[in-house]
Amino acid sequence: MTTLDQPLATLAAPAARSKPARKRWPLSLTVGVAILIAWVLFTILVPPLIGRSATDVVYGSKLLPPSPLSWFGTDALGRDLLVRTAVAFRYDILVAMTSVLAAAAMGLVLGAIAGTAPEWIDNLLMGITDVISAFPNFVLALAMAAAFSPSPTTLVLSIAIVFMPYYARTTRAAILTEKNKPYADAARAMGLHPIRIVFLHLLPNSVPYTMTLIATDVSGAIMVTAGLSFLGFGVQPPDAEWGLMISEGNSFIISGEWWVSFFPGVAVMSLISAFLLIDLGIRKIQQKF
Amino acid sequence: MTGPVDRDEGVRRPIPVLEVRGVSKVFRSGGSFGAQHMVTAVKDASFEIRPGEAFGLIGESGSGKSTLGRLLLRLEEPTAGQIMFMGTDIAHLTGVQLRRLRAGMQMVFQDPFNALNPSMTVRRALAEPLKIHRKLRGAALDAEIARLLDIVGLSASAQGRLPREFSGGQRQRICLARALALQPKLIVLDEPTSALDVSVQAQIINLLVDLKQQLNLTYIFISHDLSVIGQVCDRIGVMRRGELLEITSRDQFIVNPETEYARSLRDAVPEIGRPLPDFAAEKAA
Amino acid sequence: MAVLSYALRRLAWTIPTLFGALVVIFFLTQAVPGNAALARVGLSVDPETIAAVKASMGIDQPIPVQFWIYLQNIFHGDLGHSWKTGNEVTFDLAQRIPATIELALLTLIITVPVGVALGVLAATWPGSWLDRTIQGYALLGMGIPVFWLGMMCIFVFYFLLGWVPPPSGRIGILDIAPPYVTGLYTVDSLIAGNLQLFGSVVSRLILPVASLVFVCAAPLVVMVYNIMGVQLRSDHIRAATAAGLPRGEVVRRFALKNIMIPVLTMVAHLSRLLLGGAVLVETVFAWPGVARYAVESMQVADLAPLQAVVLLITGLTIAINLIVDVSYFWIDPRVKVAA
Repeated sequence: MTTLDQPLATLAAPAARSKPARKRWPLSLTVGVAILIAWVLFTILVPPLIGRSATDVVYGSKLLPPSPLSWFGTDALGRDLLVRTAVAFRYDILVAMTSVLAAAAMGLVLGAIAGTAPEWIDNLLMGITDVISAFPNFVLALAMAAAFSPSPTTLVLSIAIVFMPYYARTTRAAILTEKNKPYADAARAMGLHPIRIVFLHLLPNSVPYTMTLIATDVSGAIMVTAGLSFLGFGVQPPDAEWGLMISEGNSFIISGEWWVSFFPGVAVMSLISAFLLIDLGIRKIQQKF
Repeated sequence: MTGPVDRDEGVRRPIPVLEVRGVSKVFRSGGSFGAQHMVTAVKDASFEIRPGEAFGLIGESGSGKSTLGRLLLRLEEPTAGQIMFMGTDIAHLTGVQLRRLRAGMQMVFQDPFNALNPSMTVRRALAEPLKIHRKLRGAALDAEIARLLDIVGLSASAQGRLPREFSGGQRQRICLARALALQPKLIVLDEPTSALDVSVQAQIINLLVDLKQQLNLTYIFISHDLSVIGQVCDRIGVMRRGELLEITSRDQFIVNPETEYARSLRDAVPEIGRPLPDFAAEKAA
Repeated sequence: MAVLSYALRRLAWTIPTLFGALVVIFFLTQAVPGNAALARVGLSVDPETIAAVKASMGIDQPIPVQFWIYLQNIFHGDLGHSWKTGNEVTFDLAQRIPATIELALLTLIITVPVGVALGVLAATWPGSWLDRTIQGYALLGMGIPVFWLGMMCIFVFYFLLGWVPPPSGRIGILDIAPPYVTGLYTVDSLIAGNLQLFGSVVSRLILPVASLVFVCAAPLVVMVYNIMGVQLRSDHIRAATAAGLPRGEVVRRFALKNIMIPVLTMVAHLSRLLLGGAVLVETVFAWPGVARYAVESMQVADLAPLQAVVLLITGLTIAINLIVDVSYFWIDPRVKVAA
């Protein structure tokens, strides 16, 4: 039998980190972040520099085409479209990000419950997510936004519910994987409370799986926000929001006043592209690991 | 099946830490539509563990030894039988009572890479049981964490690190420290060395033997490796296809195993100096 | 018969989903605070009138009773009455469904080959200018709001260039709809042998379909590109390349076969995207389809058409998912019923 002839080696843990590989920062990530920063600067700087607010009406300046005087032109009420486009960024980014974060939060909680609760609760919750996924995203968001009185809260909730099922499903799947790992058994064997195990042990390790679609979903949420407002079920006048601004130009497009809708549309596109590029960049970084 | 005869009986009988009576575990698979498959992982196992002893459970993979270990900690629900831990039947306990008793039994797992929560630092992993079960706070907590790391041979600087920064052997030491944090009456070691390099295996085994002496611990040591079991355990239970075939003392096992199967297990251990069985001759015969 | 039994099980599995969808639709459109009776009679009416209107609409009953009546009506093919158009909803729908089908079907027929072709082309020559252009398009296509694209198309091709008629629906004011055969004006005008009308119909379809294709093909391109990328990096393709097979031949012989199933899955996703996009495109182009019908009803709180259209679209989505899943099984019987 082995005896204690060996002294216990006191081991200082060496940092077993992987060598700092010279990873190239993906161009797409740089461009995406740059667009975002540009928008933040734009929305902060433009109104004071122009000296007008998004709702200021300049008399006698209705539907002016873009000119050195007002770069993006004015809308049917004589409001400056440059200022409105810049200010509208706040609405779109806020609604989109809040709703996706809310979707992720709801999905994490529902998924965690479904992954650990008794089977009938699991079936019920997954049934609900199935029903939500059965609707085309935009149609369900539209029906919800139309059902309740229009407000930013309604908008955020409608979009959040539409985007929730993905997070619930991935969280559930991740929890099912995690709860069979030995560390979960160890936590159980330690006599920890099941709720503590779910939220302090399993959930933190499940979150990374679910975060892969955050950036894509923000871009999707921007699209839904703009679409709902375009149809009149999102942001209400006189607030400045891109989808609403596009719809305000809808009646002028056949008579050639393109600028009313053009600039907010470009804005939507640039912001969505920024998030898609960020998503692409994150994926590239993950692949290199 | 009456259960194996405990040939070591009657030597000395302190109150057992754990008494297992006729425990069985049947796994059912298949849905409500298809035919159900029933697999008996553990069949009518009975034995007892006395304080301060190291009980080895040996068997091939799939023999049910790991399931038996998990049953003892109630990580699996037994299909039948009693598990008396410190005089209480824990086979069907639930909720608070089960959680309270669980702290008295701890487990060290085979796979040290998954046995630690990857997002918890060593300090948090050790502090959690200390805070919840032993209600330690502040300086007492710090001192206890440092002491635990010290007795498993890790420096205090390990506290702030995450599991991924450690090697397999070091992680197994952390797992051991975590198990010891609750001052358990019994530690189930489920193949604690089989995922490690051979040189590291020896270190961990030495540590286990040393800790057992220092802290007067009680082990159930599950392994498929007789040479490892032989170094740690006083008594050995042999499992095959879910059945506990025999329980003998280590010395008895080496000299004269009762069953044919145990003998074949013993003889399968390659040992320096002993000639390998002559397969060529067998074939010729 | 394995496929049949799978199809039946899968069909049974859609029933709870469909029921859940009905519950959601009912509650969203009927039981929520946006009080239907108030919306209909206006705010400044005495309580008796409101009560009378409520009774006539059946919404003075408890909600579960209303839901039960709603279910019964649906099973009898009664989708209610639109007070805005004054017609039975089924009548209105029958007139509008072909318009939407023509739009959606044409879009799908163009989107799938275009999307697959672009994805394959880009993946076959990664890093080339072709690859970059297609990738750039994909990014643009996923970022562009379809309604805005439609409007810009109207500006360029109607206002500036005058190539297409103004956006006023499926046919011009002076045109007479072709005799009803399929309901699709393109097909019906050809059957009637009226080439001039066919031209008019096509010229009005071009922009909405092009806008939808531009937006719907983008995610398909990305998906095909990713799958092809993985395929082309796999060992058997490398071996074929190493054996001296030309690139195009390798792609045609090996990689294409393996993208059929994912593309099929994508079609289900596309149809959802398409139906959502149709709501917006029909609004922009004044297209007399079901989505525009729903939006117009929504704006005046006309509930029955809204319920019917959402139910129609959702039922269609569920049906497409069902078909895709079953054909999935037909191609690869290892697929199990998702639990």
